[in-house]
Amino acid sequence: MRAAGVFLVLLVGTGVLPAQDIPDHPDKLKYPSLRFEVPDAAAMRTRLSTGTPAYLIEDASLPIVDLRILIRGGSFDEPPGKEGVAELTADLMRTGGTATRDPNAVDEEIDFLAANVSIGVEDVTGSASLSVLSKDLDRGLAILMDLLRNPSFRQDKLDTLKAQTMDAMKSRNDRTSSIESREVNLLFYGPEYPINRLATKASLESITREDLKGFHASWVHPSRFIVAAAGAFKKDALVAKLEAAFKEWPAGPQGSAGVPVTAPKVAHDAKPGIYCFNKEGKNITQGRVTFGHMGVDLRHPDVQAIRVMSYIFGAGGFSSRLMQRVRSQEGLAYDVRSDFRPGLVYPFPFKIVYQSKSESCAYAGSLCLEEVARIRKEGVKPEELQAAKQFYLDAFPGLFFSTKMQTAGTFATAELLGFPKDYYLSYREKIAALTTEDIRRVAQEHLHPEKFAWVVVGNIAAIQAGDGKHPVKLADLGAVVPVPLADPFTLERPK
Amino acid sequence: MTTRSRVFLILAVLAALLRAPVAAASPQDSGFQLPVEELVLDNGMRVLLVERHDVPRVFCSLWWRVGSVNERTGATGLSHFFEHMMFMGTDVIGTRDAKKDAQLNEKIEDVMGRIREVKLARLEAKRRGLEPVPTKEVLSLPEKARLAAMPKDAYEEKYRALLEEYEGYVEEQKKITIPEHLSNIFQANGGTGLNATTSYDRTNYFVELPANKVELFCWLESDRFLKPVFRSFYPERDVVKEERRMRTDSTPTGLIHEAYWAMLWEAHPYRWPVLGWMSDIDMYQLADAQRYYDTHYSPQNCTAIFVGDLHPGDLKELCRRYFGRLKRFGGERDAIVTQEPEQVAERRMEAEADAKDDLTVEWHGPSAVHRDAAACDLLMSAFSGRSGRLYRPLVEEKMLALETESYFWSLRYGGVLHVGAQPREGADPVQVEKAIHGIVEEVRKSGITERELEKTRNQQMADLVRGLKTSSGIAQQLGYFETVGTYKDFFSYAKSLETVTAADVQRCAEQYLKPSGRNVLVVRRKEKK
Repeated sequence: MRAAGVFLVLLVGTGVLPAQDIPDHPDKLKYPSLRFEVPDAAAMRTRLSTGTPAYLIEDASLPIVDLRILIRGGSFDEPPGKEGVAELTADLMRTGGTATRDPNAVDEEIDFLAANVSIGVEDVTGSASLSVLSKDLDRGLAILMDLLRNPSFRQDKLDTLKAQTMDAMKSRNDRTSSIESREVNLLFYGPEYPINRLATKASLESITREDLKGFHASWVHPSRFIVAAAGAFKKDALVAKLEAAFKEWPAGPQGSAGVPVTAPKVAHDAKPGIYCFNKEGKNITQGRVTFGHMGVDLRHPDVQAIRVMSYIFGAGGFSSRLMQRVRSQEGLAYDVRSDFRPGLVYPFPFKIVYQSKSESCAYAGSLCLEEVARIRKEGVKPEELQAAKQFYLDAFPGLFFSTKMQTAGTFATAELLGFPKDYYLSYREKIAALTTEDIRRVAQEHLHPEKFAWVVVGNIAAIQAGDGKHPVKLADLGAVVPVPLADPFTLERPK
Repeated sequence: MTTRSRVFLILAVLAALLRAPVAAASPQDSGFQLPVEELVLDNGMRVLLVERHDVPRVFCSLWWRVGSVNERTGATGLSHFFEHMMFMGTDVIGTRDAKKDAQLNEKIEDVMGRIREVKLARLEAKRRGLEPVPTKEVLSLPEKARLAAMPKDAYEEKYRALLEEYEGYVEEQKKITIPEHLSNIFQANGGTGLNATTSYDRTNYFVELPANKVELFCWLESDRFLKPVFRSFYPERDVVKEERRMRTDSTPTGLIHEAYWAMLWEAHPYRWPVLGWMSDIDMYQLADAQRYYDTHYSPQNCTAIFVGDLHPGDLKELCRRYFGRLKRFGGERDAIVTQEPEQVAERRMEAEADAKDDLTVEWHGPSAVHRDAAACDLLMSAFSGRSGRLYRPLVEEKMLALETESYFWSLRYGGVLHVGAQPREGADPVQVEKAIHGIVEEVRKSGITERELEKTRNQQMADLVRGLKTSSGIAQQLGYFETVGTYKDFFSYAKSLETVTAADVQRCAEQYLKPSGRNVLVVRRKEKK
């Protein structure tokens, strides 16, 4: 390849550009080989004296430090009746001041340093992040640690936050997209699963400062942290700073150090059917549709085969069958895709998702069903499999290791969530080994059309009427079940 | 990580992306480096290269200086539609039989021309009030029966027949089309984030590739811009309509914001939506796309930007070889000469929607490369954030609002100074507005403090550095400046950030935030009957 390069340079130097330098098809291009080794997680992992693991990567290319503390536990751990307390706690840790710092002074200092400080919570984890110019690292870190350890949860700030939260709650049914995502979770996980324990007006009103303090005490402690950081620092110096900050903490909740995050088992089967949620409004000319059934989590042995099957089927963007059929060929949707990502801790559903003008929703759905039947029956062509495999093999570094901070975050998350030890090391190997038979098998074993449950949101009458051109109607795809919208404050449905 | 869609960036997203323009400051100024290598090809196309060897990937992008600002009424949204067409391929990409494909395209065009005549006849009937109008009884029928009972006009039969003829050709064309061929090739070679976006001033196409496969980008991109074939034109028109429904029509405030935006810009071509009016989308013909290409897609209107694990010498040769193929068209396109007239009075719009109460106050501001741009950034930054001028008084002291925001958002030919607030339940938006006006007037009268100046300067500089954390971030900063000026405007921007004084900021407040220049949008929640 080097020789060819020299040859080209000479040609260009004389200003001659013979056409044969450009092959007539891109498949004829030859590429130099490229190797990428998975970064060595162990080499960047440090264990602080508090037991807290830390993935720290020096990177002096910009005068900036990014640091993220992952926290074990999240909103799944909220006490019953106190739904919403996790998010209030996280938000107010950031904005409610500390034992020694006035909340307004905290805002002023963060803004003056031009730092980004945020504390957030998700289902089974939380995180606290700092992005700061490296010259201000000590000041930024001091604020972050104070917010984590000594939040004062000032009442006036809590009142403002509750008013903001209540206002957001009021908007729960404004967008068809928010109705859709809420109802999809409810359908696939059932009302008892913690993902569906959402804040209501009543739960919000019952939450006091004491509840926030209680949640904070059980949630935030170095024994529940994993640190990821990258930027312009010296590793030893940052370790010393973290040690100094963490060792002052009193002993925290017991028995959590080093234990990966867990979640309850999903013990719910959605009843097949087409659950329809009507959204009033002259402007609602498009329906939103999601359908599928419960899927798998990351520990399932078929994860990589499912990933590749789903890529070919509907998750591979423009390269996917669903996109080519429903969008490129039929013009029925702008966005159509499948999502069969494995759950990281608990299983995620397999979903087909699209939006289409009301009258073509049913027809678009029938095409999606045809594609499900086709991949189950015929599997995939060798060239489709080859393209999908090559995507994952080639894109691998960009998916998980594109910056130093992403690399640190990738490993920290894997440890916190208890990914299989060789997950990234064996990722490409397992993809490379897949055969068309594997893909056909997982399509048959993991896609169950008879179990499909649908959420349809929009102008339901128009969606049911169909396009008048194709015979298929919504009712042909399953049993239509109209469901009234839940009250945004109580989440109860009118009788 | 796979790409979701050919995104048209809606206003809010774009504001987030571009409102803090980021410059390549010189190393001695800010302690970091961004060495940019520049190459200008003989055909006028510009190439920028930035080396980053963290990971063996290269972010590859083309930035065309053409967007909705270059359109005319009657064909609004064509820039964005054209962007979609650029994924349809060429004679080599996207079809199994280029000759038959071309023949079918001609037939399709012919029948669509006749369909267009029917549409024009219908518009004429509508102009005279002669279109069939359903009776009240029909309108009150349930949806299904109503659709069946809708009266047909004199053209219905002809229209159906033409549509059937058209669909026949499309079915035939499908048999030889390779859908999403270009995307398939990029993705099967490890391309991620493949997409394109259209905005007011520019259209950009991008993908991230393994470092050893940058030549693939050069091949496919130079091929598609050298001799594009606009196949699947009409199915894609339907896709764009779905995109419009998704982003605008079927959202609570999409149509309201579109109407407001058209009020804000009185004369300038920024006034129409990037997605275009639905009636215009419905009328595009292939010739429109061809004319658009012939006018705007000449290489001197393009900058290629590569950031990542690249070798500048090799890549420059590839660019010369591949992009050197693009022919520079004769003639120059029309300059944008329309100047937004100085606003003579406050303009207001009040609307109801299934949405939170919301208040927007905006003023016209300078362009992105205007010498006042940095001062306007600092000015609006002084109003923003939890420690800014708006949040505490409005949210915590007067308890009038729940959130506040402000920013300066700049385009090639002008900018917008934005203040927004979400009134608290029970608070009168009029009171919120009054309070905002008071705070703004205070800054116009007394300016900002030295500490505010330092704080907002720190924030803009830090944003500048953060924008350079990823390869795509670097390309976006450079590309932004290449479409509003040149990447060298980075340097002048960074320098002016350093030198802006509190007096400059106050002068800008006086000059740009005049009461007569206000544009106000009030959205109130529609109460259920």
